[in-house]
Amino acid sequence: MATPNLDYLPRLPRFDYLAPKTIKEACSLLSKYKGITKVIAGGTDLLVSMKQKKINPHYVVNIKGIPELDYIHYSQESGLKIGALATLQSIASSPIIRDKFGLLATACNKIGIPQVRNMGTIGGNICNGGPSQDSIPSLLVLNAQLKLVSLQATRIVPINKFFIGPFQTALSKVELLTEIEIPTPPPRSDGCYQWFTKITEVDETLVGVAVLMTLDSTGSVCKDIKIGLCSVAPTPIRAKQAEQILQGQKMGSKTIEQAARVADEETRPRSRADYRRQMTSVLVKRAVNEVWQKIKQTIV
Amino acid sequence: MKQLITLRVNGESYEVAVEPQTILLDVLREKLGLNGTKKACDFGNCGSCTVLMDGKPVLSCLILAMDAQGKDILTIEGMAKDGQLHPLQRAFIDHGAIQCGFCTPGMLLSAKALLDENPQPIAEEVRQAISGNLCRCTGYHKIVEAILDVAQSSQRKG
Amino acid sequence: MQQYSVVGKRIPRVDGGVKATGEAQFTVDVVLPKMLYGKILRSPYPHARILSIDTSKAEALPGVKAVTSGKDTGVVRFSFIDTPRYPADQCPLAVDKVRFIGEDVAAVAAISEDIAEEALSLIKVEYEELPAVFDPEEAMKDGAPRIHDKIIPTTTTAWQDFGVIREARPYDAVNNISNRTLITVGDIEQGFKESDYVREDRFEIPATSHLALEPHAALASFNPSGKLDMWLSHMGYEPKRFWLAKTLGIPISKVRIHKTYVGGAFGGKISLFPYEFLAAFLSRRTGRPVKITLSRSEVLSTCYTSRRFIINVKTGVKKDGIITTQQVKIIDDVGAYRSSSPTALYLAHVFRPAIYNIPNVKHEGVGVYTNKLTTGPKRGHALPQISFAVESQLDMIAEELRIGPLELRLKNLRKKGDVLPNGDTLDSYGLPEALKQAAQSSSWKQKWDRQPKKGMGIGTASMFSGAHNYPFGSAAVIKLNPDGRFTLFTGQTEFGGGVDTAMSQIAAEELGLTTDDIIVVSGDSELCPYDIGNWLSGGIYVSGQAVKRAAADAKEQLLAYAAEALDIKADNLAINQGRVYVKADPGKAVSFADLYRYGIQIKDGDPIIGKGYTKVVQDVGFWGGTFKGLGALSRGAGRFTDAYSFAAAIAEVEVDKETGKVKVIEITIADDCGTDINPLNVEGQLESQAAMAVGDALFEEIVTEQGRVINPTLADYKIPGVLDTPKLTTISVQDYETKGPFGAKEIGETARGAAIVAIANAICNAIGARIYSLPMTPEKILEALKHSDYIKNWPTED
Repeated sequence: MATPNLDYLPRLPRFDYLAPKTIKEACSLLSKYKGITKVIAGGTDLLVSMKQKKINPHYVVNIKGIPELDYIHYSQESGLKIGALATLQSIASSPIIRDKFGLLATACNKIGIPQVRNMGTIGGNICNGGPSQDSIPSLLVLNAQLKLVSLQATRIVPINKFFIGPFQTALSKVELLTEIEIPTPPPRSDGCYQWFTKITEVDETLVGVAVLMTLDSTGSVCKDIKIGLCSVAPTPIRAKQAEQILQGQKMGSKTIEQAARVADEETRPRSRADYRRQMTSVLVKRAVNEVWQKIKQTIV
Repeated sequence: MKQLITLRVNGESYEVAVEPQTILLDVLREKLGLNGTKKACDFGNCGSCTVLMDGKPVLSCLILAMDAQGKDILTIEGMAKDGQLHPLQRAFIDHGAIQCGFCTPGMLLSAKALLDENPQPIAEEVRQAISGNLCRCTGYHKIVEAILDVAQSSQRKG
Repeated sequence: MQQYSVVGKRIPRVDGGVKATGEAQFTVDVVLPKMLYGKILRSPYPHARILSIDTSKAEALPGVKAVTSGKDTGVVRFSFIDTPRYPADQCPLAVDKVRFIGEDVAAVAAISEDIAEEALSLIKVEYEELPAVFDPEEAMKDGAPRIHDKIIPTTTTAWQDFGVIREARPYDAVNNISNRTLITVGDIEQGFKESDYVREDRFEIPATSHLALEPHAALASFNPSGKLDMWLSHMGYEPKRFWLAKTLGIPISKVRIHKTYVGGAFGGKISLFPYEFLAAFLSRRTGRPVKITLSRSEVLSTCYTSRRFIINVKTGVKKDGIITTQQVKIIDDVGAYRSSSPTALYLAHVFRPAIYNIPNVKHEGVGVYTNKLTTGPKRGHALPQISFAVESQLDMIAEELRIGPLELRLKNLRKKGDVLPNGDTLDSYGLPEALKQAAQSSSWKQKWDRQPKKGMGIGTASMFSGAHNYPFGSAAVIKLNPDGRFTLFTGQTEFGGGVDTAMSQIAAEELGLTTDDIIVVSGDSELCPYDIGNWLSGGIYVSGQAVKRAAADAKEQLLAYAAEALDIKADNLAINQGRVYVKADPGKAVSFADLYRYGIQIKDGDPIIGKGYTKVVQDVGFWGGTFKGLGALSRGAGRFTDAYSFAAAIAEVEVDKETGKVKVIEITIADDCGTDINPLNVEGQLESQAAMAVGDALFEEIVTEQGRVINPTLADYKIPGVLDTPKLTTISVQDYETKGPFGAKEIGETARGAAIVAIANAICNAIGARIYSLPMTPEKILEALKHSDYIKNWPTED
């Protein structure tokens, strides 16, 4: 006779609550209570998981009281630096991000609902580590680097090495994600994020595709392309084989369609698999086309 | 372990005893008697628990009471001032944008936050602003109409 | 169209103010001193015997005040339908067996929700799992697991309590059949022989959730004197009072349902729920108020959903498009308990004759038990399901006969004044006008089958205005106040439809007042007379009539006293704006306030109280063993309703054939609800149903796997948000119904059925292929496109 299953009742379990005021303080708490702690920022992922009784930490560490984690800075040389506590809404509405890293703004504007975007942070979206986090494909194609800080050390981890498995990341139990660095894309580059939702317009993502492409000076050859996907594999992935179809090639609808077909073979979706594969093809084709048209227009 | 915290709600300070796992929505409804904010799903999917925190719409069912300290919280009870309905409240009534009334508090606050930031939104911006507030009764038409009406009236007043 | 002063005006809701400020009190908001919180332990198995329940540890937990289980609450049966032929089959807590995942097994009342939940985790239940069956066609086969043992009623059934003098019989659900319906009109064999074209199709409609935003909740306070006060999230207090009294063994007059606003219902909060019984039971046990609020997950996975139908339709037509014959077979996958199946199977037939004149009909329905959550009425109760089947097939017939869908329907419509086979008459019949106006507004003729990637579709529907079901009628009382205003007492339940407002408009119109002069006291069973409620499609037509008559009664009294006071014959007097005046000399008048004083001072203290009442269907009734005009649900005989409402819907959609995604461009609804008591409210109802139809047609479905609801949260069960709602155009054709209050009849349920099939037909038109089930998901659409047999040149609609 097992303990009754009460997952139909969303009660939060008990925990101890800590509110550090500095990064150092936060890291020492993570060290001190290694493995039995969860960091809370926006709370929209963590509290949902806790109400579902999937996570039950002894300590919850609220890092929103650390002001130096909430910023958006840009310079041509250093690129974009976003503090982990920058809200999804601040990223979605940031003029500099909309201008120079538009796909990331689009992606963050898609996540959840307006209320969630006011609460949720980019750091939270990344560290949740799920297969469907909308911000990740854009960060993948933009070559984002993550700054992970512990009491012992600070290290930089490229985002394409961050996701190990579903809800498993390279973030260790004693580390805090503090910053996301994104280099400025080269000239004649542009990107986009397109997606289909599972059911309604406002809903979890069924397939998400981010594309960042650079054309040559003639505007007809693909100098570089990166394609990021979410919700179609255990972690967000790059569609590297699809990228290779287009890399260095003259842009054309046949090549794009070929790349789109290859992209769908790189996916490993779990549920609604056939449909997700088909939609991956459709979206890769549409996204690459959208970016190609956008860059072509700037090269006159 | 219960802890005493101070919450600032609708311009007033309240001292409440809470535990770490106490949710803001439950504090509003059960400790402060502010029943206008509703619990319809408890998982952040319906928007009925929407309150404004420092002017921004947030989901009170996913906020720890402890995390709400030091913020200005506005609930539906704080929307009318000195017995005068807010123009949005008046518009909702006049346009037939209220049926069962359960989504109404959250809907009004999302609308208020929109107009406070963007006094003359276009229809698409209004729809985006309330995209996180579910309504099963009205079909949303009269709600969008009411919000646009207030926006257009304020433009006329200029 | 008659002109009124208050009726027909876009009056803002009388309850708008309290709802806009958040002051409106819903059941979930009510708090009483010393209140306890109740929580329910639920079955993890779809089918299992309960071997033992040990509640001792739960009872010992500090803060727990009572724990109960089936052996405690006992075999007290209740149901939506409880007749001598189909006795109730459900108990509030499972006694010997559990029959679906989520069934109520035990309950706790404690001083906090946390403690109540913790107590649940301490209750030990030992189950013996039994083989389960989830598919109704499998469940009907010999050898399938038997879900219900023979039910031997231990008390009278509800209909016996209502006065039907017939012995209750034991019911044996052989082959898991819960109930049957067979209705025949004419001769279908002959009809099919005479048809030029016959087609047969099978359709499947799944369960969907009502998804009212206020969760199901109940607060009970049992007084030591034996009086039960309850606050419920519901649709009408009479069925609740009846069942609470019966299951708790207390007199009905001691059950008071208080007024609360209700956060939406849509048919999902009608009959007694286990949690309502349990709140009262635990309150009686503890001597303290007990509140039970279900979580969203509990609502989605354990409260009744809409009904799951498998419908087989075989229709014969002449080559000119006249329908001669229709044979319908329905399998109603009722779930673990019968609930409203006999009613639903009857309604699935009886909604149709008012629309098309089909001389030969055979309608067979069978309810089948399965080990899944129970089903019940949802906004239209079988109307959306049967409309989807019949109206989808009509489009296929149109295609085959090379007749346009609009033309085919117009050909087969009835005429005003028609008498239906069951004796109902169509005294008002706005459907042809509705269909024409919808077609014109949506540019049907120009757009139909002329736009690549886009599709158009039509649906029609009809709805009754109340039927002869408990409490069989409504009454209203209206009392004059010293200031000349009136207080109206009506049992109507305000859950969003605007009934408080509509009733005050009706009373105001009758008395020559404004709605500001009518104070509405509604929804309190202690203060208000008996009422049909708002779940049997009779709110406006029945209760509105009672209110009108109460106001008319008061008016008569006012006129009589005014005649005396002014020394003028009553015929020479008229009423306006709170005064009774002499028609020939308007300056000569007495105010209502004057007449109040007159009654007290001169007429022995008479305060002027008006009483009005009406039976739902005038010509039917039963008393002392005789039945007038009534038949059995299962045979479809006898009168059904006194007035039908109608809706015609047209949808325009665009389908992306690469993704299967549907964009609904516009939904046009033309509705005939007789007079619009309040056009603002009528529009609200039509827009509401159009939006709801988008969900039904495109994505809503309660999905079960091995009996488990796998989408019991709002993350997985989606309803349309603002971005999913298309352009909506609503038209009210207002075919005056002389028997209704100021010409009004039903509003609120008809359009949904029409709109769902309109969208479905539009999708099939866009892709050139037929989908036989709802919802029409992108995957189903892509699949159908693979087998498309698109006819390139549909006939035009000239």
